[in-house]
Amino acid sequence: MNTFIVFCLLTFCLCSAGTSFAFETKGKDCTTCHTLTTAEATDLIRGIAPDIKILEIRLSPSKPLWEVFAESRSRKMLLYVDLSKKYLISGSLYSLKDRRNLSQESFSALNKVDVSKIPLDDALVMGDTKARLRVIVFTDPD
Amino acid sequence: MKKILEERKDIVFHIKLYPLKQLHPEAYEKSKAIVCEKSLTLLEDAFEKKAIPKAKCETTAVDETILLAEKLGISSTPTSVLPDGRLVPGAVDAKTLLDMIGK
Repeated sequence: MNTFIVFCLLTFCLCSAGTSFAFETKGKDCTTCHTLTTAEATDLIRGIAPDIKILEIRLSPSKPLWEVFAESRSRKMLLYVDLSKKYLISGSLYSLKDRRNLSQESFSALNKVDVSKIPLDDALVMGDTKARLRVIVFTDPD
Repeated sequence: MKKILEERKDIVFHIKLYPLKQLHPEAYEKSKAIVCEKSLTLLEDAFEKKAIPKAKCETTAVDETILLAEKLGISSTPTSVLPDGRLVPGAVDAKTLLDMIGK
């Protein structure tokens, strides 16, 4: 099991869209023994969410889980499917060591918006308008 | 946000009024009033539950923000959009937001 985790750590990422790359030094990639295609994920999840549309699949930071980025009824979501493909988890994955919500971070990274498409003429400004980094905050006044 | 601005002069916040009408029936009118005046003071008054005057202009900006937010999948407030387009839902502390914004 430990060896497996080491392999996976070395070869993590780049598992999306059916592509897999192995580091030649180790010559083994966890995606060589495990795969999850978009069509397969659709079949697996359709029973729970009939209109599911899979957008992206990759191994989650917790190795024995696939991280599935999907959309259902125009809501985007992050789901997890275990490597046995028998179980689905809908919830947040946290790193206990770093106290970070990894699901939230992945979701944000996958669900980026085009900031140039957000009009700012009606926005209230806090700080120097010429500042290098612009953060747009959507807020309710109540 | 004030705390972040004290620390980092290279960050600016643009605040868009996005009333969650179902949750807060009065938020829509308040949002319009704040957008008309473009006033941070009014926004702070609203946060503090002080009464704020009715909108002094006709504006569709708030309706447009509601449509845009829904399209972008923003369903809770506050939601921050980072410079690279990442969405951060919910009120997060200054350190977390700074870590996410990066240098």
